[in-house]
Amino acid sequence: MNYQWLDEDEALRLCRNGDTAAYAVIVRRYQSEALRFTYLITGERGAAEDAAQDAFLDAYLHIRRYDPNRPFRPWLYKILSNAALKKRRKPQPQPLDDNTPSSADPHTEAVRDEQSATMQLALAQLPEAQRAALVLKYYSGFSENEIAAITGAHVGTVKSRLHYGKLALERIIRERYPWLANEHAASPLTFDKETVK
Amino acid sequence: MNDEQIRDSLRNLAATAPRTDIWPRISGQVEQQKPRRALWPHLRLRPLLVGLDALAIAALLFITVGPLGLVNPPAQRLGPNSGIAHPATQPAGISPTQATNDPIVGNLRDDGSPYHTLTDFVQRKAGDPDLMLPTYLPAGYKLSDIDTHGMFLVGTTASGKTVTETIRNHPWQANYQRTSPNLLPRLMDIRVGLRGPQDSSADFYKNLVGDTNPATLIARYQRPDRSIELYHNDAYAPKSQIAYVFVNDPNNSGQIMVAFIIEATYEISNDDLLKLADSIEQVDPEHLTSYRYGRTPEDQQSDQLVMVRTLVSRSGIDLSTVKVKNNFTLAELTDFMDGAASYMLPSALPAGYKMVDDIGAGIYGYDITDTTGVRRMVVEPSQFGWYVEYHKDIAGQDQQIMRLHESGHVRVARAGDTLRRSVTLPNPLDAVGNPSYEISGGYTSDSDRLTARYRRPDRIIELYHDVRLGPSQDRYAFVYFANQDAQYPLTQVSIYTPESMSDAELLKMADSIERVDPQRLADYQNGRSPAATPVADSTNQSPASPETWATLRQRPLALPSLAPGAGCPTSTGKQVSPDFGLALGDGPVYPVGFGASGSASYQGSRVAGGWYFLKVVWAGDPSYKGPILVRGRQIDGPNELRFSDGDNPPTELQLDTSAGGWTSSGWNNWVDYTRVRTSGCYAYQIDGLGFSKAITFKVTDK
Repeated sequence: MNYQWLDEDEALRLCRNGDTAAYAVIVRRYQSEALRFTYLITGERGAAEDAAQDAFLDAYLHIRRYDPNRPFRPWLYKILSNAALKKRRKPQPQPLDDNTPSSADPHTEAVRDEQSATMQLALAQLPEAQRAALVLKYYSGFSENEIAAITGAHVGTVKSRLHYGKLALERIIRERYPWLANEHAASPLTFDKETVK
Repeated sequence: MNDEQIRDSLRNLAATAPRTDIWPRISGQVEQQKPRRALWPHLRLRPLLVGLDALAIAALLFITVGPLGLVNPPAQRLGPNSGIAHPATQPAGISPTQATNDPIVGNLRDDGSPYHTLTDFVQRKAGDPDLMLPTYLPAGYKLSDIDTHGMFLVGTTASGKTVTETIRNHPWQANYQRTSPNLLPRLMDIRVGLRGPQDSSADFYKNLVGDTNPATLIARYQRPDRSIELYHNDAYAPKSQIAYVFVNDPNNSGQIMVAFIIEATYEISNDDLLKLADSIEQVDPEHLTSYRYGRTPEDQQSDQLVMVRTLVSRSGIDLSTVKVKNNFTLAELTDFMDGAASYMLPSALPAGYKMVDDIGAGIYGYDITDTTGVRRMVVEPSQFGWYVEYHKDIAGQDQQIMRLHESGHVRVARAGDTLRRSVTLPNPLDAVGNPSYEISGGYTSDSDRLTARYRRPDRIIELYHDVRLGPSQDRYAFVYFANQDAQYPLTQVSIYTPESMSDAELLKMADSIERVDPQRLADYQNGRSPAATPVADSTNQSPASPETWATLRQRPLALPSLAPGAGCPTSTGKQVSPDFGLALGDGPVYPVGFGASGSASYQGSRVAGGWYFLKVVWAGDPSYKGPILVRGRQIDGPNELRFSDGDNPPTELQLDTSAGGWTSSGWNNWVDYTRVRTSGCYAYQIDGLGFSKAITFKVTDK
């Protein structure tokens, strides 16, 4: 069988039967977004790799618990989320690595780096639950219902976490990193003062 | 800070994430593992059960709760709400220093070897395995392995000694599997953990399994050294049962309670489950192997068919007098089904091929006869299909060349499908290739691999191959037939030809498949004359050549550009065919999925590589035959527009009327994803033979 064109459903079906080649297809299909997600949660590249690695192993071992009638991605994210939160260390924002993808425009790159650093510093200060909810919604694109399923919380709790997470993010940036907020008033990290108390 | 600002910032931050290829890091461990045999919550009834008559299933699932035939002195049975106290209280967890006065001075860490076999486990524990296993197992079950996560912590003590200790709440798990070669595996898990002094049963379960126990407490049993709780879980199929066993850990002077969770299907009787729970004991490391199979006489008959034995015993038949058969050749299956068997076989085979069907063709049912040859019981076969293999002599060796597999009666539209529609089509064949229906069985139709579809009045033939590997590799064909059966309106026959058979030969074979009179099975062993059936006079179209695609690709992308902030001049959706929703443009190929306003949102959609997924159905006017090349870009900004799947999706979409699906009114259709990174005003350029069209649409994140 050629696995290159295996669709996800079929790959998962094969995985449940212990077909490791099919699981390689799944891993390679999701590893990029998994690493980005775990990185956003853990804030460390090494921890992100460890978390993603643990999660994919865990997912494979428990693949029979996955309900094939439901989307696979939220199920995987539940495992990723748990693994990432376990790996999360004390807030220790890391300097950006040298191999940060470069953009064609040095100015754009510089702005983006600073935005990234700001967001990284701010995210690191957030409570885990708020951080996970924000990343799941605004980066991974899950709905509030899906986030509730992934995190095991009620939808109302998720909404609350998102609301207060956003407020906290703004407050942290404003209070703890005013130089970043002020220097880049026109950057995407500026905040609407009318909504910040 | 608005949502888009947060989103942008997170995207920028995520762009600095590591880009590690994880698979090489975990492939070694994955290769050594098998997915754990989770009995629930989502394991569905296997086809085996489908064929069992209702009475037999009822008999099988009939539960009698009682401590019958326990190996040890009978337990005292208590009501489910009797509230048995834990036999002992204990400190929270096992401290690495608990067994020694030589305290660990630091560097206590996970040793990074999370998976272990039983033997490994004992070796790591240096003769102190702290291992408890059942000595009794239901018939046919064997211990398959043991595995766990992060089992050991390693640390250095004050005197420089390296110590290893088990991490609390990361215990081992033993998987038991009935290994009869003639049955689908039946599974049973035993997980072991340590129950904290304040833990309720529910807390313990959640800590160990990571989920809420969905089962209902049926009974508690109390013995001097253990308590047993029995639960029934009817929430999921197959219904299962769970037993908790709480035992004082002899290695810790009764201070630690070892708790077992045994998950099993109802195939295992309550009696057997209780026996098993009752037989758990401390393992002598020197006698590990004796724990792999249990030690009762029944266990030695491990190849017996446990489920059938259960059925037979419930029917009052003496087990010692019966023979059970569940593999059949086609001729035997015909006899077994009293002439009701039905096969679809090819009458034209390429030279040198012979059919071989004495291969134990799957699970069909059970023919139970007594030792005098009198049939005592027939368990109905399941609607699961059958298969035969075709062999050919190659260089003096008989080799399997291809396999013919009837996937039984393929359902159209599975229960719960979002695409589900009532199967009221006048011709069920119209469901093939129709995006409104999903056909289960075999491979799901995958447009990536579908290279041609041929239609005849009585069948549709689909040819698949991996286009990247060339036409001679990994090819197969599906042949669909319509049934007069509301529940199973389609039969799908699959032909797998992992050999360099030409498409023409494959097509000829697919075209020769016909319903076989069971009395004439022998005629089909070697195939009849290929001349006996004509080659399909289908609506055959050749796929577009690479040169044709190159010609279309050479057309420049002539899309307008808008000033930032300018309004998006979206195309207006309209009904072009009753088979589709509102479509954009004036054809002959239309994108569907943008509504009347010509806009779509990616909110809540999947994202891969930063590219969101917008599902788009492409509808093709029946009058157009040929290739269609779709490209596009954002016209009020610099962003690209891409297609299909993946982290790095293709920049163009190729649609070909020789390979699309059809609706009942003859419209072509294809389902694909349009991929964007951000919201904005976008346009497709659709190029085909004799036309080039632009369609503008808007993408939002709301």
